[in-house]
Amino acid sequence: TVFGDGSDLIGQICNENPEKKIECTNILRADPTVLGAKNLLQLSEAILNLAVNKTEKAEDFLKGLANTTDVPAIANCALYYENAVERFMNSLQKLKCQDLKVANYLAAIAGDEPSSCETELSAAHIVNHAISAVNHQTSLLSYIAFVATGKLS
Amino acid sequence: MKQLGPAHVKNLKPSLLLRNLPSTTMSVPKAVAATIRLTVPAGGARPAPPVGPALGQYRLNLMAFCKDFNARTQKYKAETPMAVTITAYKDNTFEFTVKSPPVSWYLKKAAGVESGSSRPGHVTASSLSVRHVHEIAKAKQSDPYLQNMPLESISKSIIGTANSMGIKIVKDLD
Repeated sequence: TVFGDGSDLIGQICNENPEKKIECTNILRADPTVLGAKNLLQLSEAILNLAVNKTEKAEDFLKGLANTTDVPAIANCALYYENAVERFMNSLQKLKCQDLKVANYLAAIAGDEPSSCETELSAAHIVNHAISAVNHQTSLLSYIAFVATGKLS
Repeated sequence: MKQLGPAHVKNLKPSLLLRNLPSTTMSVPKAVAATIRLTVPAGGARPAPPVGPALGQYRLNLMAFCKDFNARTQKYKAETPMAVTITAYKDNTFEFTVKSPPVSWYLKKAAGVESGSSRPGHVTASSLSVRHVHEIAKAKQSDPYLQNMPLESISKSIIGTANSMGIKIVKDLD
């Protein structure tokens, strides 16, 4: 089964880090494609698709903010998120052609982008809870994708 | 014809009142059949793989997509990979958005590497000069949301991305 205790697919991923377990479980259980996965490969693909979808929405959100606020730090964040989307997409492509180690690496470094965004905002003394929330979510998805693809290597 | 006043209106049957009301048209969002993501070279969309199979399965108009995509991307150098997201509707129509290449693609292109370092910050995969960063910044400045952004600020972000990819930025290349 996909969800339940530690022996299920989602549990295998989320139990890796007790501190992230609740958030990890919640975000994965909310996606029907993730819930429908029958094995670790399908689960990894579903997780990366989820990461692409959510990160693209975050990118669009940041670009919208950049256009309306004309704040360089926020525009920089949008730049970082372009990279994050690309990395998740490339990770998915590598996964599909069984280049598992590269897929795993790309999933990991996708998390660098929201971290860079958060650093950018901090340096500019900008407090924006909405951006911080998407940064947190993207970092979480990067971690989850990294763990999932790592189990396939 | 006698004009009906308020008193007469009250005595009309509801069905008669409804027939005299102007019709109201409400727009209904179209049902989405799928979201398709592709990477297609600028100016190079053809009704062949990967475009053909991806759009064909949803019976979308291939030629219309290719024509529009090529027109939108003609300002880019040929073969530049463009990320395109296509929304296919159940009535066989579609919309799509095109993204310019992300910074990481420009960096890899300039550095001549396939991917970044396996240990960013520890192993340097390649080096680029500040001039390269400047050129990439100018290219990215054409993005709508970056047009009012100083080149210096865009360059700073590019350097940050380069570092995370294990690409070292130097003043001049030897």
